[in-house]
Amino acid sequence: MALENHNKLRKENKNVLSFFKSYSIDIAFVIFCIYLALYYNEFISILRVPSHDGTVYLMNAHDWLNNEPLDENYRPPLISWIIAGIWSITGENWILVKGLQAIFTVGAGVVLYILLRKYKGSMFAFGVTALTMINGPVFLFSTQIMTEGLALFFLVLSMYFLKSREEKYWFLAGITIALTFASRYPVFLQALAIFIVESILSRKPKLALRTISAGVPVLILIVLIIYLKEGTFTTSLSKDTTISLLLSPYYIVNSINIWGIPFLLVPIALIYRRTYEDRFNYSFIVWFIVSLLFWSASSGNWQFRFAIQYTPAVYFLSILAIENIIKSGISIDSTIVSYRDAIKSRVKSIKRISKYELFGDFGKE
Amino acid sequence: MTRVIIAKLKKIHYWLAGVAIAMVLVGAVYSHAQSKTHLGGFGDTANINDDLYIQAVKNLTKSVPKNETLVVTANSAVIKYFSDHLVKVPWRGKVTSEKTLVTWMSDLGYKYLVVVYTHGRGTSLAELKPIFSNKGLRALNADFQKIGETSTESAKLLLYKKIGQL
Repeated sequence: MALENHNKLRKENKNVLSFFKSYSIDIAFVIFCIYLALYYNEFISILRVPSHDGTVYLMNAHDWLNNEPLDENYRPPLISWIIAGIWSITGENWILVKGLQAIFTVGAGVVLYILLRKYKGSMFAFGVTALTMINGPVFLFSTQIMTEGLALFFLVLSMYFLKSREEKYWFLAGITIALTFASRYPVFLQALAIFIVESILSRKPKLALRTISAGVPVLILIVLIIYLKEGTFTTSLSKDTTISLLLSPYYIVNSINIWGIPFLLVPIALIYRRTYEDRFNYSFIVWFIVSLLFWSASSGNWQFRFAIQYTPAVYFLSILAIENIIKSGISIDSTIVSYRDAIKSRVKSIKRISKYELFGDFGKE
Repeated sequence: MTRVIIAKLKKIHYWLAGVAIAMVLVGAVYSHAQSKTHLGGFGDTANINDDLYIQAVKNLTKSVPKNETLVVTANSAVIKYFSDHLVKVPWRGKVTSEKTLVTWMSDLGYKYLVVVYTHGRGTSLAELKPIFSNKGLRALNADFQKIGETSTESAKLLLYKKIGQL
């Protein structure tokens, strides 16, 4: 009986150990998310004055709630709708919505991790997600009442749905693409680029039609709601819409300040043949190139925060470059596994040797 | 197995990958630490962490009748939301001197001016800097009467009333 119990206990311990081994990166990611949430809390709790843009979204939320004309009707409405929704229950208090954007940014990180884990392995996913989440502009702007984190969440969620090949997910992608538009108008272009790439790769027009059938009505509804309230629909100030064919080098010149040294690995990823052999990478490549060209084409409005939504694509290519360097079909995960096995076996042989030395002749087999 | 490890260590691309990983780790942490200095509005002198700012705006503007528009030199949205007054920023070539400021305010019937004096200046708009510099503020006394002043951790807020309206 005692032996049976002992064996049962050993088996259970073994199961627990194998669980931790199998999900060690996932556990590390959960711990990372907890730390990230605490770090956000530390920043947001000392926020005493909303930023200029943040205040405008608060005023627009107040206007939606009280049926008054919008203070700035060219601002995307989704963040103000969410704030108005919260205030309709709690009453108007800006302190209550201070951390709203951070929730969406962390949410974007979780969705990105789940997406990449499925196709690229947990180590790759953790690398890309952690780099994106601790990126300076992504983190700092997410501590404010702004739209960057919200748009990032719906954009990443759109990609998650589009990467699956099921009709119901493509339907949902239509809705999330429209919500990306409502979060931040120009980011719609990035969602559209990803949708086009995935539609071509899927070779199933039925899937694309599913997305369009869901996305177009939601888009029309968003525009209609604003038009009915304001009598007009504007997506930006006229001074910000001028586009130049002569591309600005702003984002390349400031790339290290925006994304850090990992940006230097992006060109390396793009020169590897292996990058183009995996179709999964295509939407990330197009996402990066389209966004960079679009924001660089602006004739006068360049800002670090405009790079936030395609930061996952930048870090995806950086990590891909590392994987390409390791190359020869070995993924980062399998390389780590092979190194781990090698170290384990080495440790075993060292143990065996020390056993011989300790017990002298008794150790001989 | 030792041979396998040595063989792997001999391959240059593993070393390159190691360098790239180190570059990514160190680069990401360094970049995060430096980001505050690259992004305006998040530095140590930014007003977002100013404990007294919102209360100062409320206190300074409570003497202004609710139907009056405030002409402000900075932080227009914050002042509008927390003072509950309409606000207007004098910019885009309409105001370039104290004289044109007075004319512009008279034409539109504005009587109150809020100067947000921070980082040694009263505005971040280039064309308004001569009027709202430290020297310019003193000169304002010819056309405006200072009716309120309050200091916060990051700024000094000054409320003026146009003399013609007194």
